[in-house]
Amino acid sequence: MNVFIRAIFILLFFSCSQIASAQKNLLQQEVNIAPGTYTTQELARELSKQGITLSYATASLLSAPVSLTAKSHTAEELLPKIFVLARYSYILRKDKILIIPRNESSITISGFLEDAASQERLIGANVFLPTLGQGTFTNQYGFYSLTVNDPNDSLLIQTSYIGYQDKQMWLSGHQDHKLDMALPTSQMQLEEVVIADKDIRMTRSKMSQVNLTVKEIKQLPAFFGEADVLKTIQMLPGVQSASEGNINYIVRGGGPDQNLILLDGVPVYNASHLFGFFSVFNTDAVKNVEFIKGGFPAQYGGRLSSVLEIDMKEGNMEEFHGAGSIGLLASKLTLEGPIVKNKASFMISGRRTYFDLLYRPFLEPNNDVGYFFDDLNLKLNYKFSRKDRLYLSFYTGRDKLFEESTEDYSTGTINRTTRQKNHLTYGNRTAALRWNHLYSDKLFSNLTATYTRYNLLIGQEYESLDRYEATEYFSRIEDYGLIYKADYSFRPNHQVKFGGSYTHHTFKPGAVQYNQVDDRSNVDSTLRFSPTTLSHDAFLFVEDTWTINTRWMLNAGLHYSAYLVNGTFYNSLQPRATASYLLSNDWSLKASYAYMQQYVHLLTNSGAGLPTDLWVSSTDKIAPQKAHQVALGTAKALWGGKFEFSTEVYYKYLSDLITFKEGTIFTSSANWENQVATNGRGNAYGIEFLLRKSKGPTRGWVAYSFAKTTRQFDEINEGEVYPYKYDRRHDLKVVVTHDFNARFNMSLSFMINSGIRATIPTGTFADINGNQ
Amino acid sequence: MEKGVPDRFGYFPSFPHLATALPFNIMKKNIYALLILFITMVSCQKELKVEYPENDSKLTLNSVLSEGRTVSATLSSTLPYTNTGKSPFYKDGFITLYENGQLIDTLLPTDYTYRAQSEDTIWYYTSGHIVKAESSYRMLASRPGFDKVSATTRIPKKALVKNIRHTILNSFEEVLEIEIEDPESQHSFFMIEMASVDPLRDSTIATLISEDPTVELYSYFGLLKMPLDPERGEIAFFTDEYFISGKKKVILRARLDYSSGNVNQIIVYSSSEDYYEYTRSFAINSAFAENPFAEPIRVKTNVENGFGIVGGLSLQIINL
Repeated sequence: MNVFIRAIFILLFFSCSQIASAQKNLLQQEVNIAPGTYTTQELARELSKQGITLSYATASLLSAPVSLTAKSHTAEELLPKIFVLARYSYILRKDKILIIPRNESSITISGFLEDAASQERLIGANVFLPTLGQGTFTNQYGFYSLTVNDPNDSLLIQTSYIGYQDKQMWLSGHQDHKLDMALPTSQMQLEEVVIADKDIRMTRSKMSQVNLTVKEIKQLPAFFGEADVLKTIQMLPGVQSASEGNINYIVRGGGPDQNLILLDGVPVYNASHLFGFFSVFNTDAVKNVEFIKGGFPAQYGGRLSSVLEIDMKEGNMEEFHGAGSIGLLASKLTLEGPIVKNKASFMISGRRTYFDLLYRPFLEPNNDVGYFFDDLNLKLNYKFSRKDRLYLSFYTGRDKLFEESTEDYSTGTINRTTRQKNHLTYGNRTAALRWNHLYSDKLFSNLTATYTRYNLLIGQEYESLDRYEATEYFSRIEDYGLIYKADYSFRPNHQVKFGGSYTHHTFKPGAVQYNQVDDRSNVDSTLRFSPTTLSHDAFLFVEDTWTINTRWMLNAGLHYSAYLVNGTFYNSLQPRATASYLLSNDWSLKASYAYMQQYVHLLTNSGAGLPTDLWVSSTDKIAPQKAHQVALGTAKALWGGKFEFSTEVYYKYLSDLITFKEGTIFTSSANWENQVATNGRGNAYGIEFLLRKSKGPTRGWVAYSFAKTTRQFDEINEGEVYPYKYDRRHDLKVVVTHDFNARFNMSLSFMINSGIRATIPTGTFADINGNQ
Repeated sequence: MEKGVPDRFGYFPSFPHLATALPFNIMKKNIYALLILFITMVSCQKELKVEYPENDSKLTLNSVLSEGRTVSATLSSTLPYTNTGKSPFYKDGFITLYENGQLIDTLLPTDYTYRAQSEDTIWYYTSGHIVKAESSYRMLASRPGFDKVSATTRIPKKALVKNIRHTILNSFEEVLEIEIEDPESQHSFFMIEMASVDPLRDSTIATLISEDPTVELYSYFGLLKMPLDPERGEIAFFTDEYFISGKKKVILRARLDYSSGNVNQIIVYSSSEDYYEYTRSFAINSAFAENPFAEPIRVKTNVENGFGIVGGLSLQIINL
């Protein structure tokens, strides 16, 4: 038995050896072909004629003709000249050579992009593989990951980011790469440097999205010397200021409450200082600004019209830095540096106005009147390893208007003093604790715990010898939340993002605390005009950016949101999609659709525009606001990529809007739910043009938009459609900055637009008693 | 330009050392900088004349039809907003009255009153016809030079005042609890006023205070309501929307005038919807037209092709 098995093994061994030998012989078999130029198909036929049978698809043939100088060749020598062996391989079967597609192996190139000097992560930087026509942008934490089909060859990687030097390097194929890159800042580029193959990246820019660096924002003309993020946003097409000089902005016919403003991922409910003249964002503490007005990625939700994502600086990991400024309005001081070099860093920035301090010496001794605002930004970050990083960011800011007076008087022999204090205080506080974790080169995750609060207090206090009385009106919205987001580059040409969020809202739309102490009574009570509302807000999302081929790209996603308030449950599935098609290397077409739902509402007075606006929740009576938006656009690089021209046309339909009823008095103590008109509908459409130059010593843009927006409520204007307050028909903006040298820069901004709508009386009439 | 080359202004001096120190591109940039500086430093002001929109003048027809009373109406016309004068009241108009679709009378200008702070008069078109509850009335009015106007209203049934409790708290304040029953057959709109009536002088309308969020109070005098203030005003407005089992107890605080000879009254109106909306919007408009915290409001009208109101009321006057 043993001998028998051994015999079989020996037989098999010889058989296999024979087959292998035969196959080897097939590849080594010589063929004779006269020197000359042949098409690959002719060569394949010639091989077959000479006894080497080939089985192949014509797609596997190389297109370039082959020149042979020698007469004698082996099959093994000829096959690479005939077939695309980068995508096909050959195997021997019996007496044939089969040409078959290679296994779809892929490689992943991933890493972080950082500022070379400070190690600050770079957000929205472009990472591009020109040989494959594929690319991506770094995410909010500077991470990128590209999974591509293995090119079986070296491939070029390029990076670009405004304000930084471009970088490019060759990488070998067949293997994954962990490639962290540190980009040096670009020095003055007085002469334009044009790299032709960047045109593709330019036109691949995202639809209805703009990235602004702090450098760009700081170079624009500033009111009272305070560069302002929101005023820069207002210079973009499709974005309008709510009123002249005001930082509240309106996007594509939406309302001022339909803009999601995120500071390090945390919503900011009132972004204004000085009654709307300045924003709360201190540009010394800001790293990056991304603005989205349409084609919303599925990761965003909760607002109908725009998303403004602002990221604070992380702090320099290498060395200590400080910057301070004394402006006409405010002074600022920013400090940053390593706590543990290359491991942990901090950034702290403060700002305060001081005109209350300047004029205080000129006031009467018994009176004190003043106004100031201040801000504090703080960020700490700790790098546990390349895979884990922890961030803590904190912001607090307030505006305070105050008045205090003391009066001395005497009644008979008794001297009395009365003291009266009034104040209006409002402000935001936000905090985020974030953990970045890299599970693998393909999977990046971010878990953030968030807190945000907006407070409004109006108080008055009276104190005399025998009586103390204090009244305080307060309104508040406060959120606690948890957000998980992940980027997964799981297969070639696909970049998937998924995640979820939970937020607990507390709305206190208006309450009064009253305290009175005198010789007869001691009253301490709280009156609520509108009940406190607690709600639970959650969403899940998934989106995929699919590079279909070198021309087509699609971003499609789903956003599912759920909202529970006072036993009423709302939910919605919101599809989002953006597609782009490259007509040529420098010209693209884009289209987008987004459905959005918003569960919080801002009740704002149409006249005063004071910070006394109230944030309120959807309730069983008040449905969430909804919007569908479609947009079509095109972008083209002009004059060798020096300029980019883009135009977008959009249509937005809004429903379930709310607004104050006619004649409602904002300061009324009635429950807000009884004061609003519901079931409002809105239409907005328009066309926007943008011509932008981002590089070179002279930069800037020209933006024009034509827009129309209307509203319709059953209870307003007798149910007739009327122009929305912010229906500005024409809007032209010009921004130019020019660097003369490294120290001298000038900028110009110009804006002209149609006025906002107002309801004015056109006639008077008398009542039955003759009262006019 | 070369040294000594004449142009039409004479010889142009040449500074070769400057030409090398200031190459042309730098000069161009300086000129560019100066130009930008000039643009930024120079501002201009232009006064634009804006034409205020003016609409054609229209007839204003006003009439309040009260159950159990005779009919009266006035006819005037609108004025442009920029005209600060008083609307003229017309004597030469033509008003007809229909009851439940039947022509019942032509109103004639039979009475007038002198208009306050003005030398002109208000003419009243009257009819001796007695207004009936639950009847529908239509008024048509015309005057040469104006388009015809018309309005229709329905007279509601009286509110059923079940109980009144009047408590004097102190010399500054008293509390009234009024229980009202809603007539089931109609969607009801109520208004309450309190007045101290002096037979020899004008009535004094009391200021009412309420903490009931379903009762709206408005004052024609435009009291600026701060968040700390409870609702206050001269007329209490409420509808049967918040009635429970067809009943509602309205609690009002007020201060009445108990001077000698005064009669203190509570007037409870059951109103047609159009008159309720007109009165409410008129009161808000009068009070808050100049208030920056108030949303604009258009005074409601049910007059087709014109302005004013033809409203229906059933009222009860209760002496305290």
